[in-house]
Amino acid sequence: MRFSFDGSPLEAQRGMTIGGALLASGIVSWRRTPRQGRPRGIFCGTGVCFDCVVDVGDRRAVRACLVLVRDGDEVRTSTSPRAAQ
Amino acid sequence: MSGVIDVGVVGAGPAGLAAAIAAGNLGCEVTLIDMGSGPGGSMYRPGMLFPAAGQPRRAAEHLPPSLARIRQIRQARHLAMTSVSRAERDGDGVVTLWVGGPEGGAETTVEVRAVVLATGAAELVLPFPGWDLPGVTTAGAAQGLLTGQGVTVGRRVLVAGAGPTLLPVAATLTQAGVRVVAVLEAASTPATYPGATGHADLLARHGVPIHTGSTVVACHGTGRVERAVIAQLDHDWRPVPGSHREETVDAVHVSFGRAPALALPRALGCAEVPYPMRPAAAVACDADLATSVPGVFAAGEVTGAGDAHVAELEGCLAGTSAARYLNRAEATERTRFLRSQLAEARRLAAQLDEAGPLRPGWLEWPDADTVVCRCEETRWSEISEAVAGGARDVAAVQEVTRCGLGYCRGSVCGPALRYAVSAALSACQL
Repeated sequence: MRFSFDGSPLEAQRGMTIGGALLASGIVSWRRTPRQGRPRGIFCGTGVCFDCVVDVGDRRAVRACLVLVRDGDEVRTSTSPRAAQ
Repeated sequence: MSGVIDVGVVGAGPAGLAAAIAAGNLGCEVTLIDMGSGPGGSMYRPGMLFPAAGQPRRAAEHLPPSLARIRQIRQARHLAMTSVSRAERDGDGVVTLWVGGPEGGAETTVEVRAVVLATGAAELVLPFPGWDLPGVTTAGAAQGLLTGQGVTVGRRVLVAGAGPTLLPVAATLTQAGVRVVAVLEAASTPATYPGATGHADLLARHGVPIHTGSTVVACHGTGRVERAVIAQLDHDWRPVPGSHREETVDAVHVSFGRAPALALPRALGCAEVPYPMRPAAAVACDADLATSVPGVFAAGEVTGAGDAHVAELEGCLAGTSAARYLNRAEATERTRFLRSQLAEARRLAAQLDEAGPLRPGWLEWPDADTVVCRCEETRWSEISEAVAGGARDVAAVQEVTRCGLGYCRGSVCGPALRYAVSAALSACQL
């Protein structure tokens, strides 16, 4: 399967979450916190902490640790984790 | 969504599944709501595509037979990959649950006459400088990524914390070829649990040392963890001066046990009891697992249940109690049987050396600028400043600092915050 992150083409295996696919591609961080600009990636891995949110296509603040990657997904750095609320 | 459902069960781990099966078997219409992609919760993780044994498993095989019966309960509807963001109980006793998917977007509501809270627990990680760097994850995240997806966070890692999670995770990572530099257990002895010897032997064969009385007190790196500072700890978990050393690593996996997930019980106003030996609380329940709020029941780790067997029995009893509350069942021999089985299972679970008490020396690990609330970016010093400024309980500290009020609703930093506030208040009163 192919997907992209911030425009860069990447590959993933079926059954991987978006977070798993990013990690498997060597990407460990994909967001910055709004105040201090601290990098964020996977932390809890169970959908609890919201550290790992990304935008996917027109979907905002998707929890990358829960949602499976789909062929052709355009994954982008999340602009606002607050949309997840 | 229209129509009020009999029973809403939140959480599809062993407790929630058992509750849904019990209530469904007693003729209740049940809606089971869970964040996972399939039933099982964090105990029986669904979607194990790459199990440690190497053979793909079929989806249904990950549940034990007693819980796999959920598939035969026709009255039960399962909303997978769905979380409850809000809950309210009205004057007629109808509970409204606001539910949404993991992708944000519009929420819908589910209305129920009775609810079983089986929300489980979140892994407890104590804050230290650099604990929010990418590459630092919960031990459970490392385990789940590897067994569920065959993905590793790092190639040269430390596994640190306290309690019975550390050795199994280190063993799984080692078997997958990850170089575990060391397992760091803060307590003076490693946790004992069924299987501990096998895990310790495996680690010994691969030359992975298990250091007790030591932990990771800081992580450094640009954009991700690159170096970890390890310190020896005294009996109270205070870092021993001069014992600090650095290791080059690309991941650190941490667990200090688990703390009940209380956001939903709190939203419904359920009373709490202190969770034994932990900086947390659990939902208070009577013998039949009714909470302080009529029509609201609780089961599993959220009540402080120690293991999956206790959780399953509690779920069974809570589901039966919910049916009784709706006049679908009477107190029967089965209820008494369940209560006695539960008493025995709890006694056995208590004998297992679960994660021991946290020692207060961990309060010295964070520095003033350590981000304690990962969502609101509250700094560690802001908590003691709030107490010094007159805040006298957790809610008052939160009002000033926003700590624990972000999008995870305190699931991650809540226990550490409660512990820190209580320590700061005792210090004020001296």
